[in-house]
Amino acid sequence: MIENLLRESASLQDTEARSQMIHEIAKHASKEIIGELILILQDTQSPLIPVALEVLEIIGYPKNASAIPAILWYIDNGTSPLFEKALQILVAMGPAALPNIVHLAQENEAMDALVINALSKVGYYVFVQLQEEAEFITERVLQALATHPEESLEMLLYVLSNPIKVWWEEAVKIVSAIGYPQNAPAIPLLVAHACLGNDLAEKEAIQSLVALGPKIVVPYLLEALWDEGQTSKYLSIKPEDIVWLLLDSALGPEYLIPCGSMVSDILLRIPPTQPAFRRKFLQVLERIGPQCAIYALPALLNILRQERGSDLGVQIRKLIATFDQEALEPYMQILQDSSEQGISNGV
Amino acid sequence: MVFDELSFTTNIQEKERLIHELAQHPQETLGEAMRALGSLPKSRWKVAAQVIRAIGYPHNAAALPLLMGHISDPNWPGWGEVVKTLEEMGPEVVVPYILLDFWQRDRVQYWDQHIESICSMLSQVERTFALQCGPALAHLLGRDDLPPDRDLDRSFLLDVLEKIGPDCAEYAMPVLVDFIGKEGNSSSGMQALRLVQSFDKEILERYQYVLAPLLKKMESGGETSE
Repeated sequence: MIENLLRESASLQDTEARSQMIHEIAKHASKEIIGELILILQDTQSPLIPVALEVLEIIGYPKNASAIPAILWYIDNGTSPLFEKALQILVAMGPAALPNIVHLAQENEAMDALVINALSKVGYYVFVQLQEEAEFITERVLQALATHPEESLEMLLYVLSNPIKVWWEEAVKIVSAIGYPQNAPAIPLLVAHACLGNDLAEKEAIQSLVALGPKIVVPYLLEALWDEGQTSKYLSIKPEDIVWLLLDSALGPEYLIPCGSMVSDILLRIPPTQPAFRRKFLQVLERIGPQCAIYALPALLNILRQERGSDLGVQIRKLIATFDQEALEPYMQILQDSSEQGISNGV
Repeated sequence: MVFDELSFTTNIQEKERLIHELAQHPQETLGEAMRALGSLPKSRWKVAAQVIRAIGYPHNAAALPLLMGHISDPNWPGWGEVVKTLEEMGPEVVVPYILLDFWQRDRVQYWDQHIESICSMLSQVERTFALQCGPALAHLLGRDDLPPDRDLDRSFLLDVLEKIGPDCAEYAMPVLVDFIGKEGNSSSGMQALRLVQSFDKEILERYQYVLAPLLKKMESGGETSE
């Protein structure tokens, strides 16, 4: 029955009459009718697709929520003008639809892939094409997302956790704009993006972390170090990635120093077969300087045993030589013993 | 000979007088006292330790390695006297030897028992000793290659860290969270957790996200939440 009405409205030449009829169909759309509209969309050869999309747009969110998968499919696979129409429907749904989309992605792998692809296309359209042609629309979308954190945050987490790269830079900006503590669930992902390397969002993420400040960020850095890339919370980044972040980014000593004890603990567990990693971790302790002596000396002396005569051994000896006499005194017998074994010359 | 006699003397005043007199001549007495303490019979050990103590530091400095060896077993005669002697020598003299013993696992006989005894000593003596040994002790607790708990009871090490209290937080925290994660609800795990909970708010906040899953795991009876 709905097909006949759609066909009739599609055949109308008078645009006003056509629009009136479509509004009338939308006004009386029941669950069953929406189901029939979705069936039409699923038949990709149907000539009624454009008019079915028009009806769904007028029905509006949340009544048309069940059509989201079909709409995403047209965003992913549709060509102009169906792509634009589907996108228009999605944008009209507003931030309120975002949690729904994320939940759909979590249903199964196929849906996850569809959401990722569709969001990538939306991102390209909004952040690349529209940015060039109609920047104000891009701005409006970003503003809408930032001002509705309770609805947008879940999707931002999804975007930042998945390879929807075209969104990353903007997503980080939005997370930053949402502000703390509302954006707290996204901070692990900011940490991850800050040290992924070659990441479009890297610079933005580091700026966001600097803006948050060490009191908020350091506990996350420690968790990421502790996590050792075992969970997806920090996108499986490794402790060496965090060390790179601590050493080479705009994060100052107020981020580095509180992580020193944990860095020293991890350094001890890096096998001798990975001298480059050992060297990188050692650089953190070097950057901290004599202040690290209290927690680092036992670990350094231990590694020194394995690094007789190596470059790393020399590097460790140089660091120990910078430590205060007071810090070294309890270890004097060990240093003497090591020296007799040719381990700690120069300390 | 004199140590044999002294060890069987029951007159306390007379014994103290003789010990004091022997201590007046360290050059002649110290070597003999060290020989008595370093060999059988055990009956002479206590009085030998008393003489070494009475000699005092720095005159008794040569006995330091021997005294360190003698703290391996708290049940040995004279153990308390040896501990007091080491305490009187002061942390700046004794701690380097303690840390050396932490290091010399392959060179100290019954190393695990020796470490337990050193920890017992550190729990008894002036807190400065524990403070200076704390970082090396925490490092030891964190090592993966330690003897099993039945041979080296971790609670001895934790007792010393407890004595240090919040002052050990900065260096011990990573080791303790790792230890709690491995030990779960065991008595040592709970002891480590209590210690962590006694730390200052600032450091607990810094480690809040590392601690949260551990606390959750312990509350759920040690079952992993991941």
